[in-house]
Amino acid sequence: MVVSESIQKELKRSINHSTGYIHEKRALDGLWYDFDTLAGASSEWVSGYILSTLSLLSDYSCPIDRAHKILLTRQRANGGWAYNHKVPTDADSTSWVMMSFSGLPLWRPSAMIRGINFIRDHFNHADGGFTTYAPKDHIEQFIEANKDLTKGWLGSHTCVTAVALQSLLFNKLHSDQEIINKGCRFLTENQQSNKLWNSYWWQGNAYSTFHCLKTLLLAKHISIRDAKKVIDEVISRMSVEGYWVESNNDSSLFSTALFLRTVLLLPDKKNLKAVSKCVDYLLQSQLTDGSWPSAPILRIPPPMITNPETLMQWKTGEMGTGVIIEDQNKLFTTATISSALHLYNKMFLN
Amino acid sequence: MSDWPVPFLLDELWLKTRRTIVHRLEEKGLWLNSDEYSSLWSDQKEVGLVLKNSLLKNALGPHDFAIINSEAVFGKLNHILKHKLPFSLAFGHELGAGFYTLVSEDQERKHQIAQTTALFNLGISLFDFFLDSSEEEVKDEFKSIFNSQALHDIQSNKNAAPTFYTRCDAIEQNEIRILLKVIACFYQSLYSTIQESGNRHIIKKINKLLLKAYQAEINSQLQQDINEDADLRLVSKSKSTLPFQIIKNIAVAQMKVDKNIEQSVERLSYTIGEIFWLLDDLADVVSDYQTNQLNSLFCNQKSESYMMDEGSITQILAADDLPRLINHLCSKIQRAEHSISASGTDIESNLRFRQILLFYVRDWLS
Repeated sequence: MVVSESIQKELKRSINHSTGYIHEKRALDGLWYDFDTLAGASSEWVSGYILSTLSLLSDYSCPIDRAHKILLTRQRANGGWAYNHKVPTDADSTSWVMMSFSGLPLWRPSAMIRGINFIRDHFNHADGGFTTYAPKDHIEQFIEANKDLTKGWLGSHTCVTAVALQSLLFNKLHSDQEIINKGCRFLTENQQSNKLWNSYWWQGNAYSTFHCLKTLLLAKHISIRDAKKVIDEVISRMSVEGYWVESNNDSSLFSTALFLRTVLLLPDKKNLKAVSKCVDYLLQSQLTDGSWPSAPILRIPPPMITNPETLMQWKTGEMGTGVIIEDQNKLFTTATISSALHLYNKMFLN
Repeated sequence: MSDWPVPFLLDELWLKTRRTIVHRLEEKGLWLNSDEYSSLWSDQKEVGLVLKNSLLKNALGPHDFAIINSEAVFGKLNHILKHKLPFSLAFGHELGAGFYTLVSEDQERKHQIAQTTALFNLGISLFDFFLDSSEEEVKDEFKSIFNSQALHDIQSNKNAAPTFYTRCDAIEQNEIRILLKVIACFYQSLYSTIQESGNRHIIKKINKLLLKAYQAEINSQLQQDINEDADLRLVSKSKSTLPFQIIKNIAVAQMKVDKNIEQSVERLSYTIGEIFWLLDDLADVVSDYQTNQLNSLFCNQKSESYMMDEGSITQILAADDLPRLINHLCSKIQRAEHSISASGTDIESNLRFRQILLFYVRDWLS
């Protein structure tokens, strides 16, 4: 199957429009901001994610951006990056920032080596996963909580492990295969019986499922047959209209784009109809400014909670913990959807 | 020994390598300025994308074309593959066209030859990516399918490649299937390109070189089994230089060329191979150190052995090994330049070949 010329034009227009939106939303300091919390909006983590997306959209041929240079100046003494400049460093933010450098010349090896070491410091030898925070990040001091009440945030998380492993895999200066193998085993062990993955920080299964499957495929830790079973399960959950519904019964464009990217990890003729329906749905949902509507997607579990699935009452439209928040600048959602459309366009280009 | 921590020494090593290369090449007029480089970058990307969406898409079919554009194919090297793929096709195309115009003014067959060499260059890159990103059992699976018998069959019978291609669809491993399809299409293209010449000698020569290149690729993966450092260097050099010699031989296969010109173009192809062999080491000096890979900068000139420790970085920074290697690179580029301008009669084509060569020299370091 190939994409018709009119759809292809529409895809290119849509992707260019969304990229324009992302560039317009850059703050005066050169970074991108999203997800308001009590600690303020995220800058470093969000900028790492946006730069990684822009890199993907250029097929890893984009030049060094001024945000890369700013991020280098923001690297902390311990080698890590954080949610923003006020918050202690964490492995997820560091992984996304490191990933944003993966398509660039290696012009500051020391920064990359320190970043790798920081991520490795968050490897949990007990279970093979990566934790968001390590004890030495002292997140308890920042949130003014008792150390014993932060074990949730200090635990291994599939969503963080998958991204940490990707950042190590894509880094030319990292070669420790053992840590990759152990991390992949952690992901495999934490796959649910329904073939998908739960997340700690994200609403629903889409974010973790996409990143866990991608990581296992990148590291060659899953057979094509088993990966296809995950994709079959994802496809079976798609609505006839072309979107996916997560736990709160609302259609989520963010999750839809991530599930679409999951399906596109192993393109298969039998899924093409479903995929093109999903692409149509995403194209139709784009707003006139080039963005896509946001929804509550990022959850902040209370720091002592190790399994957020056990928490029944999540609040939206509020700050603090036990809440699910939206990307008010629509940057995360827009970046994720434009990546999915770009990949589809590349794969089925006429 | 230095008081600096190793990561800072590596920063300095990276900077010094880049700085010395740029200064030396600029001094000798071998460093493209940024405008020329950007213009050629866009040109080569466009050439590569056209080849990707036509030649490669035809070679792979729609399903595998979608897979080669997916996010996880070729594992940890996926990002590099995405970036390099169009340039790999374009470089192979330009080299084929460049060597061809050095020996012939006839433009008719140039495009077909350049398409064959584009596929060949892509095949070499994909083979590298496959070997560097695959588990041992997957490599073994590849070797069991594409063994010496299969290579002999495909080389000795021009009808074997299409049969081989149709068998590829049954292979489950995406990377193996894609790589073998590219190899099969390359041989099909090679036979249709050179069959008219009926020159058995050149076909035999190309096949022999292809076999050597395949062996050099495999040997480079077996570093731990090769004890002598000098042998390791030879393997690494063969791996880099043989593809250029093959491209040259494909490009001139159909022509009855004067022996002196033929030898001069042969030497040029070897020199270009040496240039990119040296560039590989210079561009990857930091990552090779960090991941303990073979690199001639860490070769102790006196004992010919490899020293990859903190002291060796300090030594490279303090001694003149680095400028010496870069001077060596400059003289190779100058030799290639001279050879290009001395061969052929089409000044415009020669100038383009020179610019393309200088573009890829600069691009290798980006």
